[in-house]
Amino acid sequence: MKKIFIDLINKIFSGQFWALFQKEVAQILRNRQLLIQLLVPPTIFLMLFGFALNPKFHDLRVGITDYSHSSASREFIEIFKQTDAFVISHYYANQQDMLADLAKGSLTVGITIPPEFDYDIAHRRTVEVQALYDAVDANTATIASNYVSQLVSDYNSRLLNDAPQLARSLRQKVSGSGVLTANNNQQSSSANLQRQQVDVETTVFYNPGLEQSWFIVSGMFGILLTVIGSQAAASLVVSEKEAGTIEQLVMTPASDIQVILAKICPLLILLTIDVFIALSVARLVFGVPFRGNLLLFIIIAVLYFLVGISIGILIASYAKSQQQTQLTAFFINPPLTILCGATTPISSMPTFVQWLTYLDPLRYFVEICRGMLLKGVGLETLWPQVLILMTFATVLLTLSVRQFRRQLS
Amino acid sequence: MAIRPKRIFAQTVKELTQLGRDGLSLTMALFLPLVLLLLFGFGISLKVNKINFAIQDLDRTPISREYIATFERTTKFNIVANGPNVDVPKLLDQGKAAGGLIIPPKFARDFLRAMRSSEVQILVDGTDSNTADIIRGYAKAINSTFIANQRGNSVPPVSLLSNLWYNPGLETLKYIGPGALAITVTLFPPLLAALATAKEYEQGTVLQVYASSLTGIEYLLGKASAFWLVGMAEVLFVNLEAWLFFGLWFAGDPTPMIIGSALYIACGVFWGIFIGRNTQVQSAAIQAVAFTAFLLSLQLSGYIYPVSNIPAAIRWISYFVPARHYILITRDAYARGVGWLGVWFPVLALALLASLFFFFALRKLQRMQVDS
Repeated sequence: MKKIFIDLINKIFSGQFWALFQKEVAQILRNRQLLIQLLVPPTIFLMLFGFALNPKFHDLRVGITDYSHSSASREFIEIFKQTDAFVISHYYANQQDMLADLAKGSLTVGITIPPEFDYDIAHRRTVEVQALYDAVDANTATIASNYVSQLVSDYNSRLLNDAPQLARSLRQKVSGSGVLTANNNQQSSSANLQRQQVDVETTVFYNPGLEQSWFIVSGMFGILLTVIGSQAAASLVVSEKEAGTIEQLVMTPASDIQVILAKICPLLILLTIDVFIALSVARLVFGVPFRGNLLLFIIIAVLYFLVGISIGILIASYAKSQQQTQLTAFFINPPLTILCGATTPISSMPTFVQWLTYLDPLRYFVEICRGMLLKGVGLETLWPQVLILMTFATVLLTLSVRQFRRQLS
Repeated sequence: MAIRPKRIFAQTVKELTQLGRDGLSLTMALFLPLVLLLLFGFGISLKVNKINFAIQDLDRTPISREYIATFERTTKFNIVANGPNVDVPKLLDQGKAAGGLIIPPKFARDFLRAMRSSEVQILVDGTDSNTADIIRGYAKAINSTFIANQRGNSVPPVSLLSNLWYNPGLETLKYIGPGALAITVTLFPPLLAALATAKEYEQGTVLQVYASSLTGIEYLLGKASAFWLVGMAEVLFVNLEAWLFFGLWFAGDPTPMIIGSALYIACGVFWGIFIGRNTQVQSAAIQAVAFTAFLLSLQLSGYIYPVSNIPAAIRWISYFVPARHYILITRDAYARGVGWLGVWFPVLALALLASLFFFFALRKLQRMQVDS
């Protein structure tokens, strides 16, 4: 068994293979356009995606109609200045004007403070403040309403905690009681406050600064390698077809596997360079860490290239011209890139679309990228993904070799 | 230099005949947008569904169980593991949970004691910072609910009355759907126009145009109106599909949408012809269109995340991306329904961009001479 295997390896990597390999390298090096196409986009794409696809919400515009015009309401409004998520864009004299702006989309939230605000606060009655959201963008509205509720509940707890002190100072003024009583008061009230208290200590794993770009950038790795790899492989095969030299390849004593592998190997080397470029851009521009094992990552990346390249060869074996290849790539690449979860989390997608994502090889590679870059986990956690990628690579490679043979005959 | 409508018309007919003969391109132009729309509409979603959540309870007292029950009662979390032996960090590593809660021993004791507060730990997977933020917010809110329930009193000074307008159910499709519609019709009009133009240079048929009495502006208008017609047909189909699958229908006055679409497709077609003239090679034209028309639109139009999230340094580029303006129009047409009052500026911007691209293309085509 082992001997057969070694024989097979020897047969594949014989002198014929090296001759073909040299031919492919020479061909690629001469093709300036392809080289640029392989090496320039990783940098530009990573930067563009990393900067432009930014899930961090800031400067959400708040409009305020304050019918109360009191110091209490102004103090309440202050809460929106505590975070850079909001910016107060305008104060309105009446709600109608604010609603018109909300309708136009120039506001995200409209806050209406009723006239009785300061009276109710002073008398410790609950006062109703109205918050109107422009929910056309459901996601932004959800985030904005989360922020507002947080700010208001912070304000509430601050007011509740301050209230006894406020009452106490009032009482002190009225009764003029001594220092000792005040101290006692304070102790009992703070004891009351401390009872039944739960402090939440939040620890954010993998991305403690919650850097927004890390999610996109770590996911973009896979997209880049798929798009670049499949297109380059496809155009290499098709240009051979267009030039009519593919018949000469059939005439050589080399087997189909050798022909295909010789085509794949130089691309593998170039794509590995791409990985290093992408890793450096991620590290230098976005500060994305690399917490896993670099060698393991490269090996898995090469495995994934095989998937991307096989897709390219498959496309090429069906297409008749460069134009058709590229157009077909438009059919294949958008689904792969959208369903892989690199730009938006898979868990957000509808259930039936989530099922489709299991068919997307890129999904597994994105999981591996995030695992190795951000989480720093290794094979012990990622073996299922690696196994699935291996299956994809074997199936697609076999298919592309078979299809290649068929188009030759 | 007069413009002769008859020649423009002849040019348009010629382009359409040529396109009709190219089976693959025609199928692509009419069929692929329909597939893309479904993909963009359903595949891109930011709705935070139930978040997978793991709980390790080291206390195991009625109070800690009540604390956990408060987490279970919300519809936000999907508890994937719960018990004293749950390894929360490991579940985060494997991606099986996006967040976790660890209740330490003596939680109940500290909770009931005066002068001491009990502590719980929330672990959040920060890989997706957006979801991480949301988990943190939920956890904090649930914690406050628990404390308020236990104390059983405390009237909050301010209660918030929230109203979600235009989209009370917070359906992401209402936001993503109109955006998907805009992005879908972005690709093909410029792509087909660029390919047709580049093909003339690749195959040398442009020399026949040069030799004829056709002027640059007639050539441009003729070609453009052919692909503009194809593009408008695409808009019609895509709108029909959006109505069938996403249930999108005009919320108000449809005229801004109709005029906006006409201008938007014109932008794309002029840009495509400009690219085709410049590259003169079909494969290069595809690459250039894919990058400038499609990727830039996808990234800088505010389709996935609002434009205001883009850093200011590159945000200004988005003003030159027609999709950014068109998305405002489609969103108004299908979700807001304000009409002209709300979207006169995007329509105006599209008109300006269309004429800008028209002059770019015209400048390039006017010479009608073989490059020396």
